[in-house]
Amino acid sequence: MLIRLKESFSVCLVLGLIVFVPILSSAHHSVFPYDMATFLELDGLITEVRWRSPHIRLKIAAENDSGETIEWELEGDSINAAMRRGLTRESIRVGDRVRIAGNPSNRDRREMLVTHILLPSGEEHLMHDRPRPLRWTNESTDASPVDTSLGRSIFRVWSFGSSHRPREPYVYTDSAQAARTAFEPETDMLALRCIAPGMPNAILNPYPIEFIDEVEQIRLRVEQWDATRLIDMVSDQVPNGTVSSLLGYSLGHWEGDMLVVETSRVDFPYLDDEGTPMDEEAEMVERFTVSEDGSRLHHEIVINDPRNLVEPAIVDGFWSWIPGAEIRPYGCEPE
Amino acid sequence: MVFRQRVVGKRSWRDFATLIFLGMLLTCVLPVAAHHSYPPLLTEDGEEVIRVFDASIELFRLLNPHSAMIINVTNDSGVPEDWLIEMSANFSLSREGWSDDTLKSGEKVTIAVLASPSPNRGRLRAVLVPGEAQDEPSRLLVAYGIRGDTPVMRRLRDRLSTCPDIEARLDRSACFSVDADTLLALQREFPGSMGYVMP
Repeated sequence: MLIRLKESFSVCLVLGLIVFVPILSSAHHSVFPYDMATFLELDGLITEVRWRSPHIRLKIAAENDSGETIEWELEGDSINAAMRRGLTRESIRVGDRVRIAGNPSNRDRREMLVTHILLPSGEEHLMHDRPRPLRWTNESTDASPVDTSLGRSIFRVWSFGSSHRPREPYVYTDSAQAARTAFEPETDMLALRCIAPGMPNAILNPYPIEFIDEVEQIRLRVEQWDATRLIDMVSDQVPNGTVSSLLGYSLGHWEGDMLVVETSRVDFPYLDDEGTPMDEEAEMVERFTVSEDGSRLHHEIVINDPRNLVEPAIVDGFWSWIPGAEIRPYGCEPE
Repeated sequence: MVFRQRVVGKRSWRDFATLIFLGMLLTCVLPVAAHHSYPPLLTEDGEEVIRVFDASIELFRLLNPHSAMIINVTNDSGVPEDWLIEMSANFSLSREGWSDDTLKSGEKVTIAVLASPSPNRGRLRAVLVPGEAQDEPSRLLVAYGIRGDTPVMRRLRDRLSTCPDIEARLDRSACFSVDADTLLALQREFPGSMGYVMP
């Protein structure tokens, strides 16, 4: 039986998916062949189960409104993500009668991106980083669902996440490339002397960070290098007479649920640990978004430094929510 | 290499002086802190907790001040989870021959971790990386608690040859080459999960 449902288009959901996709599957394919604004439900028998990378794939034989049996291809989660939420190889078998909800293909094919599965066991399983509410039951396959007590608040310790990756390889200007070639890590790397890097390097690592709400400012603690970034949530522009500093001056504002942070006036010679120079006029824009289920903090940073980067560099990463995690004490042993 | 000129004012001289002072403090304090600059997780008897996992490497990056590895493991309840494993700085490891390719995403390894009080975190004690081809020996990379002149290091040096590409110049790590037969012999002589790297 086919039931068509319209649900409201969630900007945050799509944003979460945009940054979630590279992590979900080694970029084998994009999630966007699906119509994210539409939900379908299918009732039918499972005809195939492919439990493998990059995604679990299923086939279901479902009856349409005319009584014909149509076979649909279903795209599931990665095995790791599915197992994390309580699905096992034994949960779905060929011949099982299940109910599926998901987003249908944009390309008029009999394909769906699965969001909910109602299993023969009576348990419901969620896929693809979707909001917590179950659709049909009160029984989740997930034995330890994400602690939702903080909802989607950004103000907490965010644990390690993915490595930050540039969307495209950086393209250096000639002068930047010359500096990189001349850079001698054994003598020039400032970290050798435990000298902390400035932005953006300061935030581009998978170690925990913590957002603390101080109303007129947000205190962003970064475990690596024990850095504290102060984000001015009040001013419209950098105050007159602001002196350049290691972490620069950050202006923050909310756009809906997204924290946007603009940083300039960074005083540090390098963009990275490879000797890429950074100009004092360099500017960065960051967008922080908490996922729908509160389990991840997505981060996008755009680095604008036309003297050194031919085009602005865009780097993506995320941190995860692990209750009880703390910022560890800082330690750097100089050579 | 020169720092860009800052706008000079009283504040920046104070910052500079603070930096120098902190640098001096670090150099004095850290050697005294011995090989643990942070508290590890301890058992009731005050022993360090070493966890051993069969893991899949999700990512590895040489970073300053702490390189990072994220591994996928299955916990005691059979649920998959991630751990963040910390290692020495890029500036040290790269000088010992490490690169971002030393540990590759997707590699299936056996890893011993000095657990931290924070959940899902620890420091690398040792990791056994199987060779890529069937006949290729495995690599045993060792770090915290083992490197330097320690009983475990002496044990390994007596039995194993070192890897050609990684050299313990700064005592931040070491690498040993372990073929299949040698590994079996090690496991027999030191039973238990990665018994050969246990204290």
